[in-house]
Amino acid sequence: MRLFDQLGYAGNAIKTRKVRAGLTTLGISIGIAAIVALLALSNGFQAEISRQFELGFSTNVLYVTKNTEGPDPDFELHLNDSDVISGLSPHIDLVLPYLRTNLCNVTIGGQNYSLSSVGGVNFTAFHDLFPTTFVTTNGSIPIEDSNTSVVIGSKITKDPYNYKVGDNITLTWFQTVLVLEPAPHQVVIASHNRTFPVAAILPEIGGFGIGGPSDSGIYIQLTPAIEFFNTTVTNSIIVRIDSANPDQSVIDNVTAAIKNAYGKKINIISPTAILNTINRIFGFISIFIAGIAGISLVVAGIGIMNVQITSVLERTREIGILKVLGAKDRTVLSAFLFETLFIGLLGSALGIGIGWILSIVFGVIIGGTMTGGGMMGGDGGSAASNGFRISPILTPELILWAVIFGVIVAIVFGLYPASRASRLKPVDALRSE
Amino acid sequence: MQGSVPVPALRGVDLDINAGEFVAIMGPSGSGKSTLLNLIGALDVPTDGKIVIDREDTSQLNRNQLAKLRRRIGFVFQYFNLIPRLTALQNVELGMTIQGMSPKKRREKAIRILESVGLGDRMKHKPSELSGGQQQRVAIARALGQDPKFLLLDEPTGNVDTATRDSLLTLLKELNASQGITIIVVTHDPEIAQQARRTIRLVDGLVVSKGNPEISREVSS
Repeated sequence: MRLFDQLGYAGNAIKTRKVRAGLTTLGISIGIAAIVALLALSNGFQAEISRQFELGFSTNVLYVTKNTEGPDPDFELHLNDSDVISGLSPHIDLVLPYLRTNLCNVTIGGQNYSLSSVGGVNFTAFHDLFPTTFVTTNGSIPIEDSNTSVVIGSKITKDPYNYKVGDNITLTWFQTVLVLEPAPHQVVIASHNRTFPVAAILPEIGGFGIGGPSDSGIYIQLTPAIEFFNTTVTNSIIVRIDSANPDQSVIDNVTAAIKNAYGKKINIISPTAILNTINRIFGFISIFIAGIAGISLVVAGIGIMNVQITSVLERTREIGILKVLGAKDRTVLSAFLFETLFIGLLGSALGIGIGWILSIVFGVIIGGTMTGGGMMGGDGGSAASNGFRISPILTPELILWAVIFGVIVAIVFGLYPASRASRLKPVDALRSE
Repeated sequence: MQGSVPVPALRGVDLDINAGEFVAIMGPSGSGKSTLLNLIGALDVPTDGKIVIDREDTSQLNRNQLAKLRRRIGFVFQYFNLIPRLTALQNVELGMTIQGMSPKKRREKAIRILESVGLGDRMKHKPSELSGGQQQRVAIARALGQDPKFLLLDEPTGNVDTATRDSLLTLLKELNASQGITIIVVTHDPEIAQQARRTIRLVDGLVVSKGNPEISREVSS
């Protein structure tokens, strides 16, 4: 029997049982749609996380921080350690110490608010490191190291702070000592305050703001910050490597050089490594989710098997006729397999369409909840430009795999009924009612 | 088979049917007529002994070879066994389709055969829209489409009225006489047996009389 005729025969058989074939196809569609929707959403979510992440991080920087669980608990990284580090590798082109932040209070309308991200940093170098986020369109960022003006994140311009360029911010921090009796607690021994004029406002950054400028940050030039906080201890030292997209080997080399010099006293965080870890976790979650969605595909497959077994029983006589007319076992097998193949292909195609629509709908809903709830920064509508949004991503690979899975399920579950049909003996088949 | 105890339907059948014969196989119910027909039609293989069709021993053939052999046999069943969802034309074409004939050729041939059995105006009808006699003609047309070595008919008059039976007999005789097609009919109907050139009688799985093949061969040659 010619291939084309086999297809035609299978098509004709499906056509006469439209409802049944339609429902079976729907089963496959739902399974495929679930997988496609979840994976497209998961892809979109992952891409969005990466995007947000990269807003706050540069891929060619390393963060050197004190290892709080290191061998020497009294060890601190000081400003002058940045000079040490910059001499460790020829690949290092910029080293930026970030002065330890203290919890600061501001008083607005008699109400105290505490700010956790008040930091001392060299503005010029900071801009150099984060040229897209440490910029301003509102005011101007002072260059001079001793300038006492501050640069503030976009959140500080909103309720309840409402600071504008030219306003003065009075920051207060409290010097405390640890008292062990009766229970360990901090006791304030002095408070320090100072007033800084606002020189510039950063654009909305969104993202996680790890290391880089953040929407809720207040930035003071290094020299006045050292004076105000009376310390040279750093929070972290940011090390930039001399290419925009360094090879992993270069990153590893620089990391090793710093590790050599400081041993276990410090931690080195590579954003690339963190991003890789995040991506790896996402990859795993995606597979897990797809696996769960795959269960519905298996259920659909069992549906196919059920329908085809019924169909073989109903059409036993027809199978007998085919055999009387000289059809080989293989021809009968493929006639039935082609039916399930059609169902699988059609179901996959529909499923991809449905899944795509579902993922868009859910993307909008999820994005809406996240933004509306202010989970990822920005309040309400103002976050729209930089807020958290998920655009589902339907890759050609995803489409290909969806079709392959749909067809495989259809064929695997169609195989048993088809082979049962093909093995029928003509005499027995014709005897059936 | 009854339960798990094998019951032989045929015992000691020794029979030759030559090309061009018109043979009737008669016998009471349970005498093994249908079993014999299935064996001759290569739908089944004997548990013992052998069936030789066109110099091929069916007991030596595998499933594929049996399938190919069946392509040269025209089977017409008591209940016609047409496929209900296909039209008369598609039913006739089906055998040729299985043989791998091109769509154009098999359509032309199917139309020609349907016209020759008087169904030129019923080709687009499904079996349910045809009378019993017309369905039988479609079944015969499908069998003829195989270019068969021989036609096997199982109780062809069991489900049709007298007028249809008469025209069927005319058709069979014509096919036998003018086209030289070998015809083997299993029947209860003495009228048919009378028209056949030779009658084989079965009782309890045994051939009790097998007519005279010599005469038939002479007539057909």
